Amino acid sequence: MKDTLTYFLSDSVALKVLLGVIIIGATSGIVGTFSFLRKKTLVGDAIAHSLLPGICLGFLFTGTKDPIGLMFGALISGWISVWVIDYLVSKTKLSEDTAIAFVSTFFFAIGSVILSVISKSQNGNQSGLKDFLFGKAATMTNYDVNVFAVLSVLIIIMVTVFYKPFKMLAFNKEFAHAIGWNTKWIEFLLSTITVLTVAIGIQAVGIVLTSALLIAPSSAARYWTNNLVKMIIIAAFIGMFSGVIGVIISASQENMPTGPWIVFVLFLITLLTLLFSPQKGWFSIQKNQRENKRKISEENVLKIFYQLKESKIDQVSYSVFLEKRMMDTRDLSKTIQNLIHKKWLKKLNSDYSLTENGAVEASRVVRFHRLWELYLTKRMNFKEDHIHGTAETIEHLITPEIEKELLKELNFPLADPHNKEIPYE
Amino acid sequence: MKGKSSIEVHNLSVTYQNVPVLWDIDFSLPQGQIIGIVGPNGSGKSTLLKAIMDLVPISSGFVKIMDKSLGLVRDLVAYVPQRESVDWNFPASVEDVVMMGRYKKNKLFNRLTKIDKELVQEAIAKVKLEKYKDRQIAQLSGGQQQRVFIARALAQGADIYIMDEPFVGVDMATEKTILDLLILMKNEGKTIIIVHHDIQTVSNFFDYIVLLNTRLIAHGKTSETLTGENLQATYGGQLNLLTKIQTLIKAKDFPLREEGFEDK
Repeated sequence: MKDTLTYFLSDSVALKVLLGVIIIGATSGIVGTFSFLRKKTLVGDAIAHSLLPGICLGFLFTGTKDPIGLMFGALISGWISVWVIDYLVSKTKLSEDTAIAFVSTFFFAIGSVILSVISKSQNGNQSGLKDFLFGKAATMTNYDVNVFAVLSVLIIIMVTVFYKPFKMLAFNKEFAHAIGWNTKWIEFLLSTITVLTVAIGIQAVGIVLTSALLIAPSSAARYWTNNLVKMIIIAAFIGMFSGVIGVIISASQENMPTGPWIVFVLFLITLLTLLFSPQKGWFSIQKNQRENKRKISEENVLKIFYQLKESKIDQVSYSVFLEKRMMDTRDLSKTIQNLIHKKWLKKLNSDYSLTENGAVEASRVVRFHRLWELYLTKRMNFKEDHIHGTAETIEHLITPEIEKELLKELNFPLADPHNKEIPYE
Repeated sequence: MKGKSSIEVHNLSVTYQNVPVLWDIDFSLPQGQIIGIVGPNGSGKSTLLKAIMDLVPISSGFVKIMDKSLGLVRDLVAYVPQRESVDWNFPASVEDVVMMGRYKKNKLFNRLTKIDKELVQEAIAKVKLEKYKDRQIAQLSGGQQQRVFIARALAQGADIYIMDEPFVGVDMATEKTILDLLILMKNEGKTIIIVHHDIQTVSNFFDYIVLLNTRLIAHGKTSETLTGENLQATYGGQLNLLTKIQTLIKAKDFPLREEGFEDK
């Protein structure tokens, strides 16, 4: 690893490659955020495939692999593909996914035909245009990187300047139109930027994989923030980071492809995000559900203790408890340990009883249960024999604010629908 | 009718995927009142609003706002789209969305000023969402989301407010907040036009109504227009013959106006 690092720092070609993927990764992350928010992630893939004929024609006209000529060709065929997709969606009965699939494969087929013509006339694979299929990050020249850098700066300036219109387009296009903005023009601008970004992106990872550069950073970034500016910045960093790691991995071994490694790292980051991100990640969801379950168990046990106390049983053994309510014994003993730890229960010989604080907690649960039963009968017209089940769950959910409103709405009732006393502290 | 009209709709027809959804709608609305556009589902109410706001192409006719075409008076009109028309998972806070109300046609790039920001805070306060202004919009209830949209329109500082179904799926607190606000706005001389489908509440909410069911049934003061006969015509289903003609137009891909015909 240390060798790889010194290699990159000492070798100017390698450094250029690194710089190239950083630029490409950041730009794709930024622009991809808008594709993601406009739910047009598939369009990126369609554009990538549709660039091939443009790139080939660009090569035919200029006769060189000069990236400016190729970019220009790419821009034109990218534009046409976006326009054709929109046209098919609005003017025919084809749905958007059908139109996208149709356009991307059709353009790619045309591109492949032109590519084979070029290959024949240029004695086999001299032109190196095949690199566009799977990317050629490792063979980027200084000149390539300079062109990408200029384009990226332009794209980032455009996104900054047109941030408001792009945001509005993604959130509420109708409103943007209603305040008099030319949404067609804004859309055209955003498509142009997307086409350019994809055109740069295929240099790194190739036509087949490039939509990953647009989709993955933004879908992961959405999990980490609720703020658009932050989301764009996070997506840019994910794009850059994946590019760098991909290049380093591919440089550390002979004959390792760069593009697929970049995409692999991207999806690894996305996967880790899905698992570990706060609130919406898989582990957070699991943890939350475990906590809900623990809370329900604890409050249920407290409630049973309270009900036993109501029938004048203060000292409760396991057998007395289980007679009152069936519960998984392992769950029960664990919950009782938790409650002792919280000092809501205390142990006396082999019996347990509520502490003073425990009694307050228990009466709260019972109060919520009975208040909710009352609410169900009074406000929702539930029959008295149907209210218990719902109240069993809702009692664990009621917050102090909702309690206040309940009490106000029910006018501080004294008894529940079964004529049991509602306990107040 | 006092003064000049807020909105005049002249011979307006709109087709959607070749099917006419509005037939030669023709009316003009007063200023400074709360006006309901009322009709059953699928009667073209929302389409009428969108046609007024130039959001859908029209097949015939024209719309005038304060005697001018919309392009000249955009800043006088605020539009509140249906709540379901956007994805509320968008990464934005309440304040972010209301701030959009200060975006203006000729100020695409200008930064918002201190005054803009104050107007935004005022709008948020008017819909009683101060406590939630930093909250992500996905974490709001349906009623609160509706109030965010209304706050955004308030921030626009318009004279005419056009709202698409603001009372759908909102809680009672929101309904009351919106109603109180509407009356306040009316007292300030604003005109409010609301698409509404719940016939029960019409007489409580509106001073003036337009009854619509792909064709104009009636329009006028609520007390005079809300008659059993008119309601029967509005809610009594589609006209048989009209439906047949609609099917024919769709099947033959026929235009609604002959070429060269101009509405005067």
